[in-house]
Amino acid sequence: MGENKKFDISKIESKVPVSYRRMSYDHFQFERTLKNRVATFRSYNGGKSKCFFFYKPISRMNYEQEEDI
Amino acid sequence: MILILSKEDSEFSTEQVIDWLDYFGAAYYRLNGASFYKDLHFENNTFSFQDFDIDSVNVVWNRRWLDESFVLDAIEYADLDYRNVTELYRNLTNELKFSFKYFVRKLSKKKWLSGPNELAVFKLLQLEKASEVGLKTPETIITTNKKELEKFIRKHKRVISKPISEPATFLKEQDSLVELFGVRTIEVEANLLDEIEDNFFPSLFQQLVEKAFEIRTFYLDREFYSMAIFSQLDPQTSIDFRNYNRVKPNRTEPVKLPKDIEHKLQVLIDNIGYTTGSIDLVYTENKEFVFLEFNPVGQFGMTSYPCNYGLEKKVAKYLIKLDHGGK
Repeated sequence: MGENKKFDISKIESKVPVSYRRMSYDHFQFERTLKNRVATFRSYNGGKSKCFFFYKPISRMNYEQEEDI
Repeated sequence: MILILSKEDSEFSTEQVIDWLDYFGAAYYRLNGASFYKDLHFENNTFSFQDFDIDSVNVVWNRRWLDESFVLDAIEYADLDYRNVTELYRNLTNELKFSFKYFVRKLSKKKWLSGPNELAVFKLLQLEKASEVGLKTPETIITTNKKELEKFIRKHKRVISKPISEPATFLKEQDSLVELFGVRTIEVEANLLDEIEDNFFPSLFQQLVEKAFEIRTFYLDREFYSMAIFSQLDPQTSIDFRNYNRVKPNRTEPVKLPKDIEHKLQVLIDNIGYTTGSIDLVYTENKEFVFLEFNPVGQFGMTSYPCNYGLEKKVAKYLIKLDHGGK
């Protein structure tokens, strides 16, 4: 454990559902910005998207007063 | 008070609804699964919280609660063989699950939007119930046998395979580079059929419904908000629009379902006992609506924004209505 191994489907194809044999693949550059609350995914397949992170039950109204995580 | 059961990240639609709750001055509290467990205080059969009183809760909005990352740290550092990893994961997950189940039981008399038994996408039950109310559904088999699969393909010509439960995503993360491997809907083409052994893991197969376009419908408070997704012309999205093309996104536009389809969907929703969610349909080249599945919890921004439905505001107003005694 500990090492983040690549998922190699070829070794277990007969042990998993058929839908595993044509897995979708996407890879991103993951950039955390804006007080670590927003991450930008830059996809090597093209395009980019944003993801929002929140770590405790706060109102968005308190958002700008928050310290960095 | 409105209690929002949520998780810490990737809850964009929840955030947008909370913005509207703030705007309307609603009384709410967002309780994330991770916070619940970190600050857990349970004594004399009672849960207590620093920031709110459970008796003041009128409405529970049940979103997502906790992802596996909460127990992964323990598993990662335990350095166990796979059997013990499985046992550790099973046990830790159950420890969390059963305390949550009791918490939910304490809230059972409250009004719920997405009840605790609604969250799983139970495709097989949905297809059965959809067929019972007169909705068209794709013919579906689950098999472990290649001959049976070949017979099914001979009958329907084009066949897809997809998870019986929910999609799986495997992740490899190194520094800022993230690789995602997803188990999604795939077409069972001839070259894939050649690779498959005579017997395999139980797998779901479904006739491929030739589509003019797909429809994603958000349901709330006996209203349907529908969006057409023109995914059929892009090879990347033609089998499943969720194989998103981010460079050239599918064209989408608002549509209104026929009254009889909305009526059948409403009966289906009432029969299963859902309170809200997103429905996937296909509109075929033969001008028929085919039901695929119902997702009781999901991000609805993808329907709200392109169609200008303002669903986040509608969800917030509905929660406030329930909080004030409405049905």
